[in-house]
Amino acid sequence: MQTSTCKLTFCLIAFAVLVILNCDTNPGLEPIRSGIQGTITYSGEWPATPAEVRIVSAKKFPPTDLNDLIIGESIPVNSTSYPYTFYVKPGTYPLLGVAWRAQDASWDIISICGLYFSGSDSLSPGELIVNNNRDVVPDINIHVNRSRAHKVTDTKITGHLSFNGAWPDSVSEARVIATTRFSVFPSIVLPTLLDIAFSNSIPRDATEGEYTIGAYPGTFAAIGVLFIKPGQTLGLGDIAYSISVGGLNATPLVVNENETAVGPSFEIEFK
Amino acid sequence: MRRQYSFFIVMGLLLVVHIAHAQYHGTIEGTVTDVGTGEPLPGANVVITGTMLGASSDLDGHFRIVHVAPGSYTLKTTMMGYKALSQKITIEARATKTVDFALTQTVIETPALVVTAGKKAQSFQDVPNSVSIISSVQMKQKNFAYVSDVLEYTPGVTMVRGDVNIRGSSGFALGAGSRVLLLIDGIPLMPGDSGNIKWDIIPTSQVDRVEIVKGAGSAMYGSHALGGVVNIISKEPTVRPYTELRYTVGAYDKPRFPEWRWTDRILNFDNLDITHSQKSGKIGVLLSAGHRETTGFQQNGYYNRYNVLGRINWYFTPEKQLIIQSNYTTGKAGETFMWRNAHAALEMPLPNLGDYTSANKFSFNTVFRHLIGPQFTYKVRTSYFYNDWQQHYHDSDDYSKAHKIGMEIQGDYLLNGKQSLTFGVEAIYDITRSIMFGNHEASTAAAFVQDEVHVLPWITATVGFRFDRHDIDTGQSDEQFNPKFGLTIKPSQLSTIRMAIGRGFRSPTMAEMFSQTTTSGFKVIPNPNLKAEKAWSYEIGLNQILTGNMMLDIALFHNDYWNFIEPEPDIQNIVQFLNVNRARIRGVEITLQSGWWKRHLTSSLGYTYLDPIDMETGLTLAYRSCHTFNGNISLHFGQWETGLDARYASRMDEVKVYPDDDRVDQQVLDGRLSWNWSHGSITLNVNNIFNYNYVQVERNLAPIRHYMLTVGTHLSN
Repeated sequence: MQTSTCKLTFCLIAFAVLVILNCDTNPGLEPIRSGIQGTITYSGEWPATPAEVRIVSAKKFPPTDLNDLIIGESIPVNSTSYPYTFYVKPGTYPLLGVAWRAQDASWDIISICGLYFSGSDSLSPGELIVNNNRDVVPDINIHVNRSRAHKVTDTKITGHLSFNGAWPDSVSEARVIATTRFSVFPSIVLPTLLDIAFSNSIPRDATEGEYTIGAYPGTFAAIGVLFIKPGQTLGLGDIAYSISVGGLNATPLVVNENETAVGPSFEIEFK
Repeated sequence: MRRQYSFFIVMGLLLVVHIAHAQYHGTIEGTVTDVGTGEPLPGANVVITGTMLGASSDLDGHFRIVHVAPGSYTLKTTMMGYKALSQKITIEARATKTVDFALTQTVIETPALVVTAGKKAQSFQDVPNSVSIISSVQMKQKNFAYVSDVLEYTPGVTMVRGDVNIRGSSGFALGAGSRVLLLIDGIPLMPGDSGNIKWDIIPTSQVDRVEIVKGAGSAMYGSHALGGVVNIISKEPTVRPYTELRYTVGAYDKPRFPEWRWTDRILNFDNLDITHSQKSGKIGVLLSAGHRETTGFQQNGYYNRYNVLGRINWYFTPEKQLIIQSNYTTGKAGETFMWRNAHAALEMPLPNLGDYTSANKFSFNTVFRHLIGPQFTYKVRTSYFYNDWQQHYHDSDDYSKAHKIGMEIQGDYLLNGKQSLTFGVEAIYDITRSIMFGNHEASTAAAFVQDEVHVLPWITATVGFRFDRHDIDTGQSDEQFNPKFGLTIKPSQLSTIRMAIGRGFRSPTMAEMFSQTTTSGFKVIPNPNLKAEKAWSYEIGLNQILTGNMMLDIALFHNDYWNFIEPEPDIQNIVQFLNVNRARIRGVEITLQSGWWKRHLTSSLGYTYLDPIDMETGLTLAYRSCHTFNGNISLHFGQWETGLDARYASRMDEVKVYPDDDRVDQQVLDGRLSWNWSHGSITLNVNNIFNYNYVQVERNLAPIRHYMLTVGTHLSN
């Protein structure tokens, strides 16, 4: 090939490279720029050696399993205060919290050890809305009392459910919940969301079903059936009373670590 | 006493006959050159057809075949990128016949011989499976550190974070197990514990070429060869002293988005390799040492590795050869499991900063070849592979030490010039000492046979099978019988039709059966009841030379899998390896190669369509792209060479964790420009020119745009 042809070819290649490097091409993945911002504060001591702590959110509330959670980045396990930014796509997030994992333990719903609450109702976490892909929701602070965190073990409560009558239109599913924190005498002690372990979802219109609660070791003061009403905040009234009878059992149940305890059977009569 | 005398008399007579026979033989020698330039062609294969006698040309293009019985023969020479040439010759006793070959370049650069598909040298046109070759020239053009990086540019081959997929075979197995078998010079180099491929065992600088056989290869190679075989052919010692030095220095560009910029430092890498080889008397020696270092483009993404390789070829006699090869690699690499978040995609989570893995690998292999006569040769291979690694993580200090000891005896017998029999036995013993996998031992014993018959001059049939027995110290044992059948039909000089049916299997690895660990929130629990996975692989293909400038290859393939082993995370992210009942991967692969203007301009295009289905759920198998495309164009003129390489893989339909994360297609374009002179070359590579961002596995960004400058120089006497 002649020298002039070579020079021309090189000029063309150099020009093509310059054009390529400067043109605005498809970038592929892009950073997520929207999110939620605030400070996480801690108190107490972890019940076991922590492996990691992460910010989490959920696609629905209450989450059924890990697939319903959006697991964010790891944050320091032993600081007293940590300013965070949790980058999520625009959308509505019914829950924002902090989850932890002890060494040699895995994740589960009960890994959540701190939640953001918008009001005083400690059974309903604060819902957050991220409007657009540049929106960062500020001042969403979360407190974590480490001493109330639960280590994930292979501890379960199982039982049977039956339903009589037609399910109310407002209910989408039922879940069985268990709490170690419940008392009406001598004083009223009500659980917060962090004291509650949830079962699998029992679909609407079921006549019977089995429940399994991914629990933690302890003495469970009450086990009840919770009816989920989409679009409504969760309250104690949803634990059977308002729409049914037979949905609460307050007989203490001792559950040991890595054991499957047999829980009460529920026979629900819809009102 | 009389018996002893008889023995010595018989042995003495045999020796006399042998010596007399040797003196009675003739010799063929000559040179192989390029007809256009007159330059000698090193590495050309010269064989006497119908026998196992042959030789390769040296750096001067010279070859020599000794101990040829008097008679009339056809001498054939083949070389990649050149037309094969044959010549009829007559050998007389105690005479030396000189034959010179001047070869003409082909328009299409097709390989001449492949050695992997049938465990012996075969004409590319006689192989019933699809085979791809990566030549040393291609590796020098790309200047990648490891073979795994180059494989991605081969049609039908994709990489998923170090796991090689031939036509979607492997998916991503978290570093535990591979459905592709790695061989180095025909010797399996899969560690006994994790059973995944350790690409850093041999850098590209020590590789002569890579052969990739697609489809089940268990009928010759046993476990792991379920989806295919990658055989890395290492460099041979040269006849004349030859010293080569290659140095690559490179830097990563800034990330495309300022949010992803995590440091002001220039992120860089460098590779240094020194190789020397020479032959002295009957001994050829090759020594190589290399160092690879990078800061990584991700936070904590550094590695620092050293490797040395030594090879001795000892030619006792022209019929007897011993090859001893040893390789040692040591190094440490930072852990980049998953990004911190999608806003800081090149940063690692704070607790993981400082996590790293240290690893050592050592291999020692011997091959003894003995040509008993023109029709029979045997070889004895022994191998030892040691692999150890230790995690230095904030939450784990797992380690594993694995020893793999192997031996294989293989015979090749040529019957009446039309039929070639390959047979042998193999034994492997694995010892694993590990926190993660426990202490276990396993053994494999196997026997194989293959018959290649030239039914007609234009039809070649291959029939073979292999029997494997695998035992683990837990008391489990498994027996596998894997047959294969292949047919090649050459209706014309320009066309080859090939068909292959084969059965494959893969015994579960120790990692898949016994892993027990928790890392980065993923708890892995053992499953000692895992069964071996099995596959039937079917392929029909056509290779057609078009218009003298183009070669088209089309392959239709269908693979059925049973007891497919996949890592399955449950809703708590607890991962266990399970036998998925049934899976099927079928598809089509089309490649088109062309050469123009006396190969000044060459190009290749490859497209693979995959339909990978979990037959139980009907879903696409995870970590598989349904459409992949490879393209390459090279322009060569005088001392200059420039080219572009492109690869595309469609968005993976399914992944195992974080399914809601954004996923995109893979679109990568690389460019290069090199200047070659008689004693070296300088190459500039720009990879991922568009600085396109994609992931191959969840939350782990693939390399961003980077620049490499490679200087290679060699001295030879």
